[in-house]
Amino acid sequence: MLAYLVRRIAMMIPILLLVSVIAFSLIHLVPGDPALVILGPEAPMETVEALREQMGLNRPLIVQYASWLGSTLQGDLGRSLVDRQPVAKLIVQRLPATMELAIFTFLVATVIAVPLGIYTAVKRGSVADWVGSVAALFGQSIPHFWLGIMLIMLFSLNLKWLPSSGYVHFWENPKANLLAMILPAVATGAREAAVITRYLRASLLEVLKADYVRTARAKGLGERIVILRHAVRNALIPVLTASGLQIAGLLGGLVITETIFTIPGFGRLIVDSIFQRDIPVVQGAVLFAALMVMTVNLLVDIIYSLVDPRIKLASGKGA
Amino acid sequence: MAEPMVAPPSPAAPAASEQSAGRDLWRRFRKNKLAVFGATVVLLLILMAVFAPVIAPFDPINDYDYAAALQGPSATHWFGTDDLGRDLFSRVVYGARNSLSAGVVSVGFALLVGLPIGLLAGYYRGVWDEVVIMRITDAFQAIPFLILALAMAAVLGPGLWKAMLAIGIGLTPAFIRMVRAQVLAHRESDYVQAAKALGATDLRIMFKHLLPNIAGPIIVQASLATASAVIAEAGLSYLGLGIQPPDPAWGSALRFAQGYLTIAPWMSYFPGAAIFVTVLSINLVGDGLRDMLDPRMKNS
Repeated sequence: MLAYLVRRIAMMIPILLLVSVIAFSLIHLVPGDPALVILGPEAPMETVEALREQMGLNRPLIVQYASWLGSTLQGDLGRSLVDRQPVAKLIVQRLPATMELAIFTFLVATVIAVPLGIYTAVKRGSVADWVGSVAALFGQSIPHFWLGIMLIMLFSLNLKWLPSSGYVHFWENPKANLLAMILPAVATGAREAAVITRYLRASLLEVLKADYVRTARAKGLGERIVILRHAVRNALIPVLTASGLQIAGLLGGLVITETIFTIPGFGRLIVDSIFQRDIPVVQGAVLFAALMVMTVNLLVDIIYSLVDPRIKLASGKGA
Repeated sequence: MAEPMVAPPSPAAPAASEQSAGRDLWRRFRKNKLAVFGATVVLLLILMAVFAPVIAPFDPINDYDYAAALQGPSATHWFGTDDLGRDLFSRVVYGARNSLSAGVVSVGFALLVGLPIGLLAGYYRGVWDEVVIMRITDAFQAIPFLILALAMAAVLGPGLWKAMLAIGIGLTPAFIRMVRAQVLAHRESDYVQAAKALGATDLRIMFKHLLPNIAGPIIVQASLATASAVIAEAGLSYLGLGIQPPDPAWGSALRFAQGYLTIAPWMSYFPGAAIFVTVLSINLVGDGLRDMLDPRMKNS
C-alpha cells in the first residue's frame, strides 16, 4: 500500500509539471506583448513597462518559467495584479465555500442517485424504470445554470422559502449558511445525480446476472438482502470510479453555480480575475484546480482498494 | 463523457454485405423511439438555424421598440420581449445558429486534432505515446474543462470563435484517449496483420483498415461530446465570455434575464428551455447510436 502510494504520488509530479507549463503558457498564447494584453492597447507606455518589469517579462521565456516554477514550488504563486495580495492567500480564502458546496452537491447527488439507481435496476423494464431513466436523462441534459435560475425563481422569489444569495460562513451563522447552500447544491447536484444513477443502474444490472447473486438467492436469502448486501456493494465499485472522474466536471460547474448564487468561492475568484485580466491569479487557480482534481482521484483510488479487497494496490507495473 | 468505450475488436464487415449491414443498423436505430425523436428534434433545430431569417418574425438585433419592452408572451411576441423591446422568439431562433455551430465546430476541432494523434499513438506506441502524448492528455484532463476554457478566454478575450477553440481544446484529450484505446484493442487483429502481410503502408492500415473498424465508438463519443460542447458554450456566454451582445445567444440571454427575474420571468424560460431541448435531443441521438453501434451496451 505504501509503495503504491509513493509510486502514485510520484506519477503526479510530471503531470503537475506539465500543468504548470500549460498554466504558464496561458499568458503567451496570444501573439504580442503580454503586458499590453493585460493592460489593453491604450495603456501608457510607462505603465506597460512597469508591468513588464514587475512580471519579469523582459527576461527570456525559459528563465521566466524557471523562476515562476521555483516560487510556485515554495507555495508562492505570485501576487494579484489588482490588489497586490498573494495569489495563494486569495485561493485559500475562497476555498472553504467551494469545498462546502462540493460536499453538499455530492450529498445531494448520492441521496438521489443511489435509491433511484437501485430501484430502476431492480424494477427493470417497468414504468418506474422508464420514468426514472427519463428523469436521469433530463438531469443529464439540463444546463445547471438554467436549473439554478428556475430554482431561484420558484423557491426564493415566489415561495420565499430559501435565499438566492447571501452566503455567510458556517461558523458565523450555521443556519443561514446551510439555507444558502440548498439551492446551489441542488442545481449542481442534479446533473451529478443523473450521471451516477445511470452508472449505478447499468452496473447493478450487470452484477445481478452474476453467479454469486444467484447463489445468494438459491440459499434462500430475502431479495432485500440479496440486493443490498450482495449486489449493490459490488455494483458501487465502478460507480465510485465514475464519481471520481466527475470531480473535474463538478469543479468546472461550480464556477458557474458560484456566479449565479454569488458565493464567494474559488470559481468566483477565477471569473472575477478573468474579467480583471488578473493573469497571475488565473494561472494559480488553474494549477490549484488540477492539483485538487488529481488529489481527489488519488483518494478515490485508495477508497477503491478499501471497498474491494480483490484489488491489490500492487507496487509493480500495471497496477 | 468520461465513460470508457473500449469495445473488443469486431471483425471487419466484408464489402459485399456492407449495404445490408447499413440497413440493419438503420433498422436498429429506428426501433429506438427516443433516438428517432431526438434525431427529429435535432433536424428541426438545424432547419430552424438555417432558415432563421425566414422563421423569425423580427430582426433579432435591430428591431427594438422601447414602447414594447419587457412584455410577456403574446400573439405578436410569442416568447415576449426583452428590456430593449426586442422579440425574444426571434432571438431564440437566431441563437440556435450560434449554439449549434459551437457544438459542431468545437467537436470538429477535437476530432481533427484528436483522431490522428490517437491513431498514431496507438499504432506506433513507444516512448512518444506513453511518455509524451499520454502525460500531456493527463495534464489537460486534470484541469477542469470549463476552467481551462475560461482561462483561455481570459487571455484570448471573449467571442464565439475563441470560445469554440477553447472548448475544442478542452474536448481533445478525451478523443485522443478513446481513439488510442480503440487502436490498441484492434492493432493485433487478423485483418490488421493480413493488411501488413500484404505490404500495406502504415498510413493505409491506419486510415483504410483501422479507422472504419473503430468508427462506431468515435461517432458515439462525438455525438455525446457535441451535447457537452453546447452546454459549455452556453455556460461561457452566460459568464459573458462567449458571443458578445447584441448578437443573440442562449447563454448570454440567461445572463441578462437574471436581472429581470421578478418583472419578466419569461426572459429566462425560453433561452434555457432551448438549451435543454437541444442538449436532450443530442443526448438521445448519442444514446441511440451507442445502442445501435454496440448492442452489448444496450440497456446500460
